[in-house]
Amino acid sequence: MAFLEIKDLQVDYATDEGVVHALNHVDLELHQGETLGLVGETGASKTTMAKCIMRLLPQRTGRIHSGKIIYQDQDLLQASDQEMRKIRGAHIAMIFQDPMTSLNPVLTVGEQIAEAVENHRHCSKAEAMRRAEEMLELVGIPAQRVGEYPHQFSGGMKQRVVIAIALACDPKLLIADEPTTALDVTIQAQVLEMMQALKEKLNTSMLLITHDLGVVAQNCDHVAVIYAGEIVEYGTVRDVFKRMSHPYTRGLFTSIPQVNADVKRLIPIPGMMPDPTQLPAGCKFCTRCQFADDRCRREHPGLYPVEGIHTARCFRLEKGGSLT
Amino acid sequence: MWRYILKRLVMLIPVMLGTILVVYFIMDLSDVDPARVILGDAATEETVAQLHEELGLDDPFLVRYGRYIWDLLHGDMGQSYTYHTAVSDQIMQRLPNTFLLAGTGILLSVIIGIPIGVLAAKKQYSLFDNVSMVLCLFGAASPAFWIGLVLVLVFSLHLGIFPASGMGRGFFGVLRSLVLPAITLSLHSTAMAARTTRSSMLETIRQDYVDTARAKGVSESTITVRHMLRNALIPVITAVGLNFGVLLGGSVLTETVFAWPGIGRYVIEAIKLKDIPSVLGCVVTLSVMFTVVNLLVDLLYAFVDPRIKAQYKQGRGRAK
Amino acid sequence: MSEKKTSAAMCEKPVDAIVTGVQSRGLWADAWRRFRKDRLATVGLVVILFLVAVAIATLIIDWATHNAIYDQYVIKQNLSMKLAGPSLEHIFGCDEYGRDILFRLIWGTRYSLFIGIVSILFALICGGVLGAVAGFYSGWIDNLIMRVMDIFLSIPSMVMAIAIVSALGTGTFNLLLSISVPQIPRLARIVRASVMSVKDREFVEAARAVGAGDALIIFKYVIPNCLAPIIVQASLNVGTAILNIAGLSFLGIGVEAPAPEWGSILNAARTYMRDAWHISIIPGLVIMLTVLSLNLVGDGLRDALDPKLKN
Repeated sequence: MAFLEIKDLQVDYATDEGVVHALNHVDLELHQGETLGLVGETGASKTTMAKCIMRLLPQRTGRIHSGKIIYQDQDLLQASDQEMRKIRGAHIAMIFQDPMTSLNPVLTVGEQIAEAVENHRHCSKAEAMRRAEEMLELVGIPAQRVGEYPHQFSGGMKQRVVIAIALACDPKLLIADEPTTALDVTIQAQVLEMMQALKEKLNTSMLLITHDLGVVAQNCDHVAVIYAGEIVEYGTVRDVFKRMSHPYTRGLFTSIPQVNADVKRLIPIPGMMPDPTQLPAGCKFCTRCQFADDRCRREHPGLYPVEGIHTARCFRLEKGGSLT
Repeated sequence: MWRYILKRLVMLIPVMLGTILVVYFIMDLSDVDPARVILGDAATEETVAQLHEELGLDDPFLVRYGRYIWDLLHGDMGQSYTYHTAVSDQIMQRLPNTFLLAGTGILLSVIIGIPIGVLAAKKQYSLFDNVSMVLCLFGAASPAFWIGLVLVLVFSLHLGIFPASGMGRGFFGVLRSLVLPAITLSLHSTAMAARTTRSSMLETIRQDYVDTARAKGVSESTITVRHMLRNALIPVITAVGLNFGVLLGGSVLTETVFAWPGIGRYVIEAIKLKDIPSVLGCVVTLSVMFTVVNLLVDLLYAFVDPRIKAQYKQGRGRAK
Repeated sequence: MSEKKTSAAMCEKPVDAIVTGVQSRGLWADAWRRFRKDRLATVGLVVILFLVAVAIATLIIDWATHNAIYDQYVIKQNLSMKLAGPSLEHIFGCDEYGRDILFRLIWGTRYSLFIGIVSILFALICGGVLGAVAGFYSGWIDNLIMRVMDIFLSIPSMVMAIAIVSALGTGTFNLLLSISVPQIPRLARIVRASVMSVKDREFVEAARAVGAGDALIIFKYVIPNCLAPIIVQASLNVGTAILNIAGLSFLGIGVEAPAPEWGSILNAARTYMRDAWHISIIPGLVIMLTVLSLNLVGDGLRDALDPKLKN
């Protein structure tokens, strides 16, 4: 029984330029205590997915077409605003991409952590503040900085505060949307390590959104590769890394430098992500795929099993074949 | 912080001296001969010249300006030509009334304008948003004195609810006579406050920290006030502060329409009677009031935004 | 560092585009297209153009008829029609001297509009020069100019206008001055800010590199590139100016009687409010619609010239 289950999720944005098909029939599962990595390049609707689970899509433009997000036997898409508020923060918490902008500049970090606590535990202000101090210590910030404002912290420290806010109410699921992208490389590893440790300590499940396969390799149990609003490959990190079965996953892999491999040059994925208002009819990746044939342009491939739970969305796997 | 306030207060001195210099200079361009006004048309050239000597009217400009400042420091704004009393007395008698009117006006524009702006932004493109913004456009474009006339026409002459002019006696009398002038005076700044609040709120609504707050499960009303409005306030405070100047100017018109016994009406009477010291006194008073309000606004920023407070603590001004 | 930036930019764009400041033609054509799309702003512009046409038409009529119509219908008193209400003959009724209000409103257009526009143009020239010099040279000149502007800013504009008129006496020129002077510091600030934001851009450096003098740089490169915010502010200020003109005339210290200035028609309304409501309603509506149109045009210009600001 999955802990969080996304079924056939379809999300659109209505913009001036037309309807953007952000998520197209996405199915995804997340198990208790595991970390699922969601990988894809900019514009692949990774953030949309996260906001959709939190029900934080922009109200005016975002529209959930169909689908279910089942968390603890409850469909989050059917939950009332009131119910959703009780789930947000207490059950599911989120860490946003850019720590520079995700903290309120006019409130102290203590107030911002305590706000979550007060809200869900209905405790006194003093108790909530004590919890805030505790959380700060937990993420490696001295408790006496509780009364300081965000502008007094560095980027990495801010992200620690954001993490403290997210974990303040012991959520069961943590959604981290590119938590380290905006940080210096040296800080990235620290923050990720800390998140990993806290996750294990608090037994939290995590949905880790990133474009960095390295981050996935180090932190995740399962990985889902998303392209143009579609899951194109899914499996355990081990399986997927061992046997990359979708051309896009391969492209992602060969476009990043490897320290231990003797590769002369990086191979970028040619072309650009298709215009999300006019997605191709067949395989979404066909415009950039070196293996694409007529069928790929015409028909939309389903998910084909590779091995065990490992699946990929490519016709080349139809008959149990492999990529190479 | 206190050091910054002190610094600002010290810096206020040259600004005030400059302000008074400008006003004094403008009024000095007048070709009205004070001695002539005091003595009347019947006086001989000789007596006029004698009074010139006595009052030091022929001294160089800067000397007279210096003397005016010196007297001002002693609370002396000269003698009114028409009332034959101290200008300062006349002004002090009327100042509380102008304070009351302008204060109520600012208060009204804040407690009406800001909520309208917040609601309009929260419900962008809704009927409420459209209607209130159209009303604000009209409000900002209407001459305040005309609105006053229309209000008098409707509420005094036709409905008889509020007095058309003057200031009532007793608490309720004053209150009743305050309603129409205060509404008239506040109209423009209410419209500006609502418009500024709306556009500033629309900026903050999109900020990431609002999503962070939502992700915490905080209720929408708390998010609106604590996370959106507090961050949206700086431009609103700036607009309201700047509008206080417009409001003080408007008080001259409003006080004239409603025969409100304040400085604004006094200055117009004084102009018509060519009572230069009174005009000068009134203009100086209004300008000083505005300067002080500007300082208060600058200090208010620090209470709203800790980043500005930090700048102040380091003795730096607000980055403009 | 700036050198690097320049050369990087040069690779992307043709050199002359950099020197003339890429934006010139495309921006204005684009802005006009966006402006046209804004229905309210277009309506505002039509109203303003109509009023300008009316004002010019009355001037031509006065010139052609040697003020005959002006004297006969706008100025001449006809006490038998004193405070007459609206009728077929006088659709907006008559004022306290029996003069047709519609005629007075039509002939009054020139005061509000021309004094409003000219006073802001004057303020724009003074404020523009001061602001441009302050912004371009910075340092002590900037400091001196801006501190003086701060002092002017600390006097409420209407209060300063009243002071100027009361010192200089009433009359069209003094009125113009009294409306104009308080606006100078406001416009100077805007010009200074935009000059400062433009003066270090690549095309200015490129011009300097080929030996252009300060004056040439300011007039040819800097000013054209910071016109957008200046135009927006100026169009909004004309509205304020018209309100102030009406206010001063209402107080009896603006345009001198018997000239049919809109605000001065309202001045009479106060005395006769009980007997003739029409005098107080219609001129105010006309002023409001004029200022409203100007504000709509100003807002439309702002959205059209700086699409980023629009939400």
